[in-house]
Order: sequence, then structure tokens, then C-alpha cells
Amino acid sequence: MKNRRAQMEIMGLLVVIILLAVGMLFTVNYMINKKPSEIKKTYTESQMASNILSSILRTTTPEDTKDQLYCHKVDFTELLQDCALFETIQCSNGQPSCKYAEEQITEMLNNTLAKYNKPYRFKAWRVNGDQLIEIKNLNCDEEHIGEGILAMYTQRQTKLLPIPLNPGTLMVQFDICS
Amino acid sequence: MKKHKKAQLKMGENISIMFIFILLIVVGMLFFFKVQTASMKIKQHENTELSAIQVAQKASFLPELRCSSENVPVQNCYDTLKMENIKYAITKEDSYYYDIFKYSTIYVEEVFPGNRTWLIYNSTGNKPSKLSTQIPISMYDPMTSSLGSYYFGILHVGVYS
Repeated sequence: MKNRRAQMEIMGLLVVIILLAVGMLFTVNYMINKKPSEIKKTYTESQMASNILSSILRTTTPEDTKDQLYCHKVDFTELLQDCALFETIQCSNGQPSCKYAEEQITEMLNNTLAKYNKPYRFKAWRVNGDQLIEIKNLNCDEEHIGEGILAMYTQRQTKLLPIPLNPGTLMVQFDICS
Repeated sequence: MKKHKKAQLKMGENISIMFIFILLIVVGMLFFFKVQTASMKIKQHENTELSAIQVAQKASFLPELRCSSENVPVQNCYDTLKMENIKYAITKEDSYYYDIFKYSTIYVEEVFPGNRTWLIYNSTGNKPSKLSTQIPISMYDPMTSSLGSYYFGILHVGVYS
């Protein structure tokens, strides 16, 4: 009878130890799997998305015709506007505005975001019209981000800018996917 | 004799209970300190990230470098002439700029159309680890023509900790 009571006590002790061990395991698991803070990543990506678009659109092309990249000192906003309308601007090597803008924007993004392995997408299209330019890197496409208004509800960093045309509106969108 | 043995058994039982109890407390304390150290490390990492962001923000809004159009500051833009001359101000007022940037390296890299680099601030303090932040910016060159030109560049901010 006494033997049985001792066995019961040991069982109780075992249950307590097992409960404690399980609790510890859960805590350790939580601590190990806890993702490190992403404050900086979120800040950098939001800054990137908003600054990169405004900076690119403001950039002036070189004036000097001896320069390989010349395009009469127009800025990229004007280039995209021309691209969306009549393509009257001829840049270096007789390139039309659309081709020049696409090549130079690709180059700028390759030298910045692609270098830091950030997936991105640059897109320009006419409202109720054709898509003019689409540049993307590392699968940052429709499958990975929302489209149009939906994109604002995803966790991706998106910047959308309307540019007035005569007639119409040109939309320029820049996304950074995580 | 029987009573004496029973007392000894009781004593043994008490000692083993005490031992297990103390063991559990020690294990619990060790575990608590481990968890505390891990959360301290996470908190420290968060603080370093926050100070890196703070320095990056201060650098990108530095009035000494910002370009302006008719006295209105242009957002997200540095003046190339101001970038050329900031080194004189930083050398003269190094403690003032140390209060703002602490131990960090700040430089601007031109991406389009050229590939020039301007070093704005550099104070490493022999610290080993660095948190880098890149911010795309425009650079305004007022010397090119009557209207000036805007270039595309990246502001690199590396904070040492």
C-alpha cells in the first residue's frame, strides 16, 4: 500500500517536470522562431519606392550631342509624355523617346535596386490605353503583387503617379516586392 | 530501532524533495536569464536599426545640402555645389556634425548620367559593424545652364555600432 503511494508521488513529480519541460520548449521555440525586427527594411523600402520614382522623373538628360546619352536636356517626365503621345523626340543614335527612356531607366535601376537584390517593377501606361513601358526584376510581377488599386492593399511598397497628357493621363507606377 | 529508521527515511525524503525543488528553481532561473539575454539582443538590434534610420533621415533632410527653387526647398534633392563645399563646414564644426551623425559614413553616388561620388561625412570610430541604408535622391547642378540640371543618385548612409 505504502509502495503504491510512493509510486503515485513520483508520478506526480514526473507530471510537474514534464509540464515544465513542455512550457520551456514552447518558450524556446517562440524565441528562436521570433523574426527579427524589420523596421529598417520597411523604412528603406518605403523610402526607395517613393524617392526613386520622383528622382527618376525629375532627372534631366544630357544636352551635349557628343555625350553618348544625350537627349536634348529634356527630363524623364517629358520623355514619357512624348512616348505616350507622338514620339517626336529623337535621342542619341536616333532612338525614339520610348526606347531611350526604357533603356536609361533600366540602367538606373540595374545600378541601384538590382545591385541590392531588391525585386522591383516599373510600369508606365496610358489611362484607357496601351502599356508603354514595363521593367521588372526578380519575379516582381502580377503573381506576386496586386494589380492597380489592389496593389495598395498588399504589403508591397507601391508608388503611383499620374502625369497629365494633352489629351489624357499617363500613369507611372513603381513597386518594390519583399 | 524501527522508529529511528523511519525518521531517517523521512529525512531522506525531505532532502530529495528539497534537492529537486532547488534544481527546478536553478533550471528555471537559468532559463529565464537565457530568454532575457535573447530579448535584450533583439531590443539592442532594434535600437541600432532605429538610430540608423534616424541618421539617414537627418542626412536626407540636411538643410546645408538641400536644393531650393526660388527659396522653396525641393524635396529629396541635394545641390552639387553645396555638396562640394560641405567638407569645409564639417571640418570647422566637427563636434556639431558629430552630434547629428555620430559614427557614420555618408556619401552620395551619381548613377545617371555620370558616376561621380561626393563624401559628405566620415567618422568610423574604429567600430566594426555597420548598418547601411540607401536612399535614392536627385542632385541639382546649377552650373550646367540657366535652368540647371537634375541628376539621379543614391545617398549611402552607413551607421557604425
